[in-house]
Amino acid sequence: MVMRRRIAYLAAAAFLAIVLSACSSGNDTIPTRPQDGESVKLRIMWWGAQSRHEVTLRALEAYTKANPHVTFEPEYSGMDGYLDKLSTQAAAQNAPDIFQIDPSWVADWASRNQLIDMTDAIDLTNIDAKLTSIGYIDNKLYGVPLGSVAHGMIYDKAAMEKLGLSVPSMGWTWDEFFQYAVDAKVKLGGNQYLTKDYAGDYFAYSAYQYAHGKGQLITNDGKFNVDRTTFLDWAMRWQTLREDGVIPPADVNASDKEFDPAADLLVKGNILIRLAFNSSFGAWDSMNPGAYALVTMPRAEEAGGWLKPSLFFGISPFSKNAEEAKKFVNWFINSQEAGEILGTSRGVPVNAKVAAAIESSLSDADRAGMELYNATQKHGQQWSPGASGWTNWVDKDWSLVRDELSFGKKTPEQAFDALQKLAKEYGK
Amino acid sequence: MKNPFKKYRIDHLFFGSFAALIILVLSITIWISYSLTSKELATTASTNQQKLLNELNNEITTRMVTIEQISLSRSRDNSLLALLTGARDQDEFSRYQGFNEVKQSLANLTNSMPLIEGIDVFMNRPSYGDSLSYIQFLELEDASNHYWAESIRRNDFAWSDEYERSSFRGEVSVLSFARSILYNNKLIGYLVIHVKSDMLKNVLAGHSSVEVSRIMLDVSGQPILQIGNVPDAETWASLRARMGGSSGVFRIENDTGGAESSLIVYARNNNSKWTLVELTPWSEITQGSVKLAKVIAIIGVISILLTLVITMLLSMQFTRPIKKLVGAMNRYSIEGKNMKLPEDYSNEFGYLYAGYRKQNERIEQLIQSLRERHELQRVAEIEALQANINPHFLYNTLDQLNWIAIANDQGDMSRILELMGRMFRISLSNGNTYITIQQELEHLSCYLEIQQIRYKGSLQFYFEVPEDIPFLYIPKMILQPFVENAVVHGFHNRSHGTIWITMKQQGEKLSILIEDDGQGYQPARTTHRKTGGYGIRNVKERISAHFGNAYGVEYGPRDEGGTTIRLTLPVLRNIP
Repeated sequence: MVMRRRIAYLAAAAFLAIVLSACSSGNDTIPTRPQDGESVKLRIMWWGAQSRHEVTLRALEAYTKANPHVTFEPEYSGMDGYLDKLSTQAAAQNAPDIFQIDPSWVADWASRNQLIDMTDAIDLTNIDAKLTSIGYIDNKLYGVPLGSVAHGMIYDKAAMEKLGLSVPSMGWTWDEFFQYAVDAKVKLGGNQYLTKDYAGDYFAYSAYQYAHGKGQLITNDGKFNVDRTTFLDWAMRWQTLREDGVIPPADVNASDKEFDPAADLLVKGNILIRLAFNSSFGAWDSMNPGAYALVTMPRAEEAGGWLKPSLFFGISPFSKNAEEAKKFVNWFINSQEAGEILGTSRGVPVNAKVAAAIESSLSDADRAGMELYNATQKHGQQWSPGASGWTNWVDKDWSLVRDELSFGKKTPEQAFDALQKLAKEYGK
Repeated sequence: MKNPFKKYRIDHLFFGSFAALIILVLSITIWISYSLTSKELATTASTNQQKLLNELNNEITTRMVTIEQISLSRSRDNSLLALLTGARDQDEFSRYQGFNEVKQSLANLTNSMPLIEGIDVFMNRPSYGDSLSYIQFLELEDASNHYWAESIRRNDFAWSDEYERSSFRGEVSVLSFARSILYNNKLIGYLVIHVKSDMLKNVLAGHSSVEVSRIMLDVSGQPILQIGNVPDAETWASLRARMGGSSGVFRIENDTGGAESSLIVYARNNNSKWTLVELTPWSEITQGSVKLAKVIAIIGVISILLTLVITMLLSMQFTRPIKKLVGAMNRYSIEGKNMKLPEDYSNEFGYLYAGYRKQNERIEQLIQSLRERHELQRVAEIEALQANINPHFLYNTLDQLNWIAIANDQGDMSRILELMGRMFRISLSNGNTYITIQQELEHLSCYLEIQQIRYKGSLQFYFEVPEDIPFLYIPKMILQPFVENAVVHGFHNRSHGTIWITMKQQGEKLSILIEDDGQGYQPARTTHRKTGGYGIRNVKERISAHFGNAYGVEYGPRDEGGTTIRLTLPVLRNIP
């Protein structure tokens, strides 16, 4: 009897255990949110040509491979519309964690509190202080330089040789350039020209004014410094070419889209020469391998071209993963692995050791870029990021003036007056 | 089939049936809990899912309606219409500026709404396009080559389903909202807004950390966006027929091509034209119940093991006494040492043991008595063999005496000895208890002839026996004592006498009458005499013993003087 009673107790206990476990297992099924832990996703945005996109994406992959907890959401496009997009996102406090900026924007963006201080996180030991100085505002590092580029010209060497034209040589002058345009047109077809209409191009005119020893268009302390005589001389030269049909008509000129295989006039064969940074050589070369070569910006009394820090990385103050973003930026400029992948897609690497280490492994396109870089280094203008606050004048106002000149809506004088007048909005 | 309870060993039976019972109860518990909870879970899940789907539907609808509204407002935008109608065609710069304006405004829109992947404007003469831009100006004539063209054929505006759109960033998965732009009833262009399907998918996924399978259907029931593991188009077409009303739930079985057994919940808001469908693998819904069933099963296994151990101990407690008893029985031997059964049981086992012990004692007693009887029998047999020798010796001696009497010319003596020999032979008659009446009468005749010789012919005797009677059987020497009594006592002190013996068969009874004309019946006399009294009493007892009280002996005085004795016996045709 005792035995039987014990069995009954055991059975009751077992049943109770089952009921209890049923209840507890019911609770277990409530899904718990997985701990985010260390896994982070960084948004990163840049502009550039296809070749830059490719190597950058590969670099991101490599970083994720080495740091599996970090993944990326890349956004990339051409230069056109980039600033608009970034500004819009920043206005929504929704800028990417890491974004590429032009050196001339660093001061603007830092002053608008759209960049964070990276001083402690970035190792600048092997980086030229001239480059890093641009990233410093009030002794705080807001932008990290990614490379150094030379500003020059790219030309369609293959086409020129075919047409029996002499190819431009390093150290040529603006006079030679304009004469070349006229001479070449004779041998070119109806819809072919040497160059597009650079009359209203901010960078082309900057080079011209530099070459004539008149300095920057905006002084470092924020003063309008477009030399009227030099500008009118420049604009008049273009107007003559335009009237003679040596440069493309306005609609063709306007349809040009850099790096767009369907719209880039150089790639399409409509023009034979255009302004270029040595870092972009690969992008064109990949579209038409072996056809192109680089030449220095034409000079006059002084050199026309210059070396400049190509691009900077900044980190958004609204980034939730700023620490991881800083680590990535540091890796991007200081690691040899990144250097090998990126090559000179953003110019010569800023880290001298990295630059030296990858020199032997550079591609032919990169080497061609290095030639221009070295040539410009010898006889180059001192580049300055200029005063802060003039971004729109450069980006918007010049664009309008460019189009108005091209379409013949304004005379060179009117264009100068318009620029001067618009500049008053920005002056200090 | 034989009842297993009669066939197998009791400890196996006890253990096995107890274990089977527990396993059965547990299995039923597991099954019931599994089916009940899975049903309950499915109901809960579908209710929750419908709520969630409604919320998600609201979220998605909000986003898509926003896109639709933006598309509408942009399609009415003056600068766009001016560009599309060709109002600015007179002046190329103005046309170029028009492009720039439209592009800038659409770019701003794209930049400020992360949901928008890009915007295409289809128009005649789309110059100044940029294939690397988010904003594309494309040839109106080529519009029909685009993926969304099919969906807008019968409408002014329509959503496409999800597809891969090639852009400068490679293949990007988008949903496109296309709107025809009409001016004076003439189609002048399309405005196509491409929406990043990944972002809509994130909304559709409901920020869920676990993988879900959801489908978004348009008004016609076509899937336009789907995440997770969803059935292919063909399967879907067959499932769609089962979706009645704006919301509901049903279950599909595994047999419908490829799709595993799933619970399908669908819901459409009143203010939405989209229907959201969620597919949940049945295994996921029943995960909880499976877990529960597993836990119960684990507990069950543990408790079964425990119970089995207990059952084993228990069954051992029950079967050990029986085994002991069986062992004791198997090893039982009459002589020698036997297994001792425990004596501390006071229940049924105790009775069983006690009974077994008592039986053994009884058996031993019986065997002892059997042995004794056997011994007695052996002695008797020896005696009987000795006794068989005596008569021969006696006959031989009588024969020698007879020869001596003949040699001495003693005729009477010779005759007596001869008669005595015959009497002996009959009285021995091989030890039989019954003899024929004829033999009995012969024996009497011998005796009486000896008495005649002694009384010199003054003794007379008469037998009156019907013909068939001499062959009947009677107990041996049953008449002799009475006849001897008559001769010894009735004719005492007399020189003559007569004896009559009459036998009659009356039905199944044999009546024997013995009469003499001697001194008569003297009851008082019998007490003083030993021999005759013994003989008659012996006869009475024998009759009573052989045949019961219905038969017996009566005697009394004879009317003419002397004694009458009447014996009543059964008619025996065979030796009983």
